[in-house]
Amino acid sequence: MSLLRCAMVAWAVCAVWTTDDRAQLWADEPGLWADAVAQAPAKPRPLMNLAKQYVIDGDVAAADAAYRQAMALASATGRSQDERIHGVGLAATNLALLRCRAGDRLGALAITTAALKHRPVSTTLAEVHSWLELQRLSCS
Amino acid sequence: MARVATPLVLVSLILLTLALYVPHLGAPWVYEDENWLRQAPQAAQSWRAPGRALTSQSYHLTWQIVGNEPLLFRAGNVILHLASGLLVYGIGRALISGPAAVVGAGVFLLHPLNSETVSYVSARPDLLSTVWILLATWIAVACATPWRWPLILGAVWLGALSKETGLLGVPLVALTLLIWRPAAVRRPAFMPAWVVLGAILGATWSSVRVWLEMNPHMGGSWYAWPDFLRLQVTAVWYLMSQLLTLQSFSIDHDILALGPRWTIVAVVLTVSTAILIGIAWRRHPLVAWGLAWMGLAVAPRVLFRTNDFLNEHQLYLALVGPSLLVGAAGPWLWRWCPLAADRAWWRELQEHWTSESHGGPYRTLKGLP
Repeated sequence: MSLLRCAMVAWAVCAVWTTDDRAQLWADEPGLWADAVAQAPAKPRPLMNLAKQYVIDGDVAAADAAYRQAMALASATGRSQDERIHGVGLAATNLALLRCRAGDRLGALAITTAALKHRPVSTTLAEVHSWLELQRLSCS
Repeated sequence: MARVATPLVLVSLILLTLALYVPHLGAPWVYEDENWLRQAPQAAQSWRAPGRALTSQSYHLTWQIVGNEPLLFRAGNVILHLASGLLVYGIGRALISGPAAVVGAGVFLLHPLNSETVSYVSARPDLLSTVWILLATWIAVACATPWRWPLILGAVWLGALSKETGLLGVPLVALTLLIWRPAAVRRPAFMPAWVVLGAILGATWSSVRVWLEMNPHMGGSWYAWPDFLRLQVTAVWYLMSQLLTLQSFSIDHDILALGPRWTIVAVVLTVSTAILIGIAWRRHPLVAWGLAWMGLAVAPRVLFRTNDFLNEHQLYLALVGPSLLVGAAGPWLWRWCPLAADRAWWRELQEHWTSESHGGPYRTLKGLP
């Protein structure tokens, strides 16, 4: 069997093996986003979706750290305007809501106030900021 | 022998595809799946064209049977993927040969680049529209019935009702006929009529107009045309490179991080592909057809400036062309044995130098590459 034939068989086996890997990964959303973060470490969206998985799993500390990192990535040079608006806006919104859920309204307001300084402003962030301002004692 | 082997290999490919995807049918919803699920109960009222009525109906029908359980939703995707694979085989068999068609269908069914489309319930519009476009193309090349034109139009219409990109059926069928069945389109009025039909279909789809006028606050891109074009073309070739390299698959690619080297590669490949299509059009129709199919299938992603770059599931239709190209190249490479060719060439070269180099006449070496 020639080297070329061996390479062709190896390519086919690798392709099927990788498809199996990908199909398994699609059955595990936290793993899928962790893989996306590993492949695109400078992109904010995969990190934000991984943070959402942390929230679902109840790991608030990890979610907090991931949202903060996503905000930093979205504001970095070289990222798109869309990522700046939605990356910063949605990460700050989710971070503020996490604080709010923990009963820290002032902490949540501090996050949204700081994020509102980024231009242009995300509509969602502005709405959540207004809602936080309307709350008197807690975030209930 | 081939008569027995082809169906056996096809059945094996189908079984292997099922073995890869069936164990994960019951996995939880992923990412934007829940958005579709939320709309599924209301889908019965949205049965109107133009739109994605057929996709909505397929979600609605599944929801009526199993409610919020993902198993049947995913099973639907796997069935549609198998149908696509069989149609790729049917088209390949009509255009090239049985073995090449089997390999092409195998590449399409089992390649990891298609795994996102099959595993992601939200990718149903891409799957469904591809099935209808492939059916239209298969009817165009494999069915000689006088009823084929209404059938082709019906399939294209259903493709467009699955996803707006289903309208691509019009240029893709025209491309296939122009290259492979020129006699079928020889009448002078055919091509203008087909173009007008495509334009009318495109104009009636309100979402196509919305896409053309899309602004950054409504899902459009913040990038100016040249930058958007450069990045999207880079995305196309970066994802296409995975067809051979088999690595870096992801739900969310970072095109901005690829850098100028990838942009240069993408521009060179785009220009080379355009030239190659022109050169190969008559002599190597499969090469011209496969590359042009890929180009036409990704064209809307370059023409409409959306706020996101290409994803793997959006390449599903485009992969038909390259799959059949790989399918044809596979058996050819398998038969071609470079070591044997080298030996023949070496023997002839030795013979040339020992017997004819001392004043003997020059002759062409038969095995010389």
